[in-house]
Amino acid sequence: MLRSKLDNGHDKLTRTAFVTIGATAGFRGLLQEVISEKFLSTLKSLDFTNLVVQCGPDLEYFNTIRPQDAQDSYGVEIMAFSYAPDLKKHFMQASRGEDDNGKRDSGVIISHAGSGSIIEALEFDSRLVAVPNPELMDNHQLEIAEEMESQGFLIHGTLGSVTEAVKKIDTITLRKWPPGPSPGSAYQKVKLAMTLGLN
Amino acid sequence: MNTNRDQAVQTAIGSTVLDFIKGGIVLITFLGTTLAITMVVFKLMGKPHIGGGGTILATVAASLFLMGYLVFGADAGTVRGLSTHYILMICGSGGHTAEMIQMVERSIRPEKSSHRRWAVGKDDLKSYDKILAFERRLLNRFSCHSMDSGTFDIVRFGRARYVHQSWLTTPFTAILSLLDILYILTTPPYQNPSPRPRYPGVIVTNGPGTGFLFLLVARALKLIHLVPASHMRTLYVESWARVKSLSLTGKLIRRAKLADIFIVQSRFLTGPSETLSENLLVMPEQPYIPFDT
Repeated sequence: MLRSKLDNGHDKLTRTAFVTIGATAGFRGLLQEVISEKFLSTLKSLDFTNLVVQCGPDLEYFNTIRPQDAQDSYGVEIMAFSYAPDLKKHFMQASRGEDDNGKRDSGVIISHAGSGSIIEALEFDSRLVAVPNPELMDNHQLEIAEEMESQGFLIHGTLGSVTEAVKKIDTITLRKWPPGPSPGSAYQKVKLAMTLGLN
Repeated sequence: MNTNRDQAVQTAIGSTVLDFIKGGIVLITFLGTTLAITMVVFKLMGKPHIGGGGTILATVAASLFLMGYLVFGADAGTVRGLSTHYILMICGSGGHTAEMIQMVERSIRPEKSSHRRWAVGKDDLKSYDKILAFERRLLNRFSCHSMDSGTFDIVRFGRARYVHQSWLTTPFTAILSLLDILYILTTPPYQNPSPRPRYPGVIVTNGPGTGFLFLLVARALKLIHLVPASHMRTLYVESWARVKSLSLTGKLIRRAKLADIFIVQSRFLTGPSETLSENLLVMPEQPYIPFDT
């Protein structure tokens, strides 16, 4: 789809990868990986134009390791910030739509596997790679990422293979979110509302 | 093997402790009430001071009276339409509050004079702001469709134990916390038009430790028939983030059977007493009142 639009002369079509690591903990492993040569060249080959990185506490660190000029970043424009109370506009940038800067193709969101971030990211017409932060023990990021991948809503990415995850996500169709009640789900049964006297 | 045995041991210890706490609370409430009644009786009888034998006799009599009242007497009370109760939601730190908001945001339906009471920790300003922002969104959204989003209030409780607090002072903060909880459960919100709902109809919580205490106090209040059985129905929703194991609060609440309905959002957590509702926090697919886009 993207290619045909490009052929039609919509040269302003942008495509963004948005990386978000959450508000609380740092995630240097992921920051390093998304500015690796391998990752950036893959972005370029998949027609990505922008890379937006929410770095949390590691913005300074990120600025020291990021490529300093456009040549090193394979022409992908890199923008970084620490945190914003509302990440909506960045999620939007990574999803299909249109704004003052022209048309946007559906991009990709690469997020840490915190439940809040996953839920927020899935609301947008984009595709999500969730990467568990191995430094956070006992916070169930791995469980969520695996389970949500098995339900077909996202791709579970691991450090060292985020590039492959992004390549893969470009070729498959993910399930639509929100999914609606699963067959035979208690949600459908009026019992719930009845027992509570809610209706 | 080993872990299984450990779990079994933990289970046994957990339930003993819980039974102890449960029994203790009921006993204390019971004795307290009895004592209060005894005092009142003495006052009514005009006795200037309380003598030894008389006190015991009166206490026994009052106990018997109270037990008789509990067994035979108490009026169950009735819910007269929707506005006689309100919903109490107990939110904890960050993630719990966000999930609670997420659930309400999607599933809320217009109701006649509904009221939401949010309970947050005194030190949890972030949750407080989040709830305010959400209620503002809700008001705008309902107004756009000329509908009433109902009323709300935010109440705050002290924590039983703050992070890094000394265990020596913990009993005191715990008592203060219990008093806060008791106050929240029994004080009607003033925002709602008459008839003022006396007690919450439903108490919902999704994981913070204090949620357990709320449900425990609610159970105690119902046991002594201070609150009619038609009120303070309890609903526990395990966090969406819990896929393979219940949270500590979830385990405690399930073991003490404090929740009338116990919802889990992962098929790995289902059991005889759990209700499975996968991805409940994004139900229904289409919200009753559309989101503004």
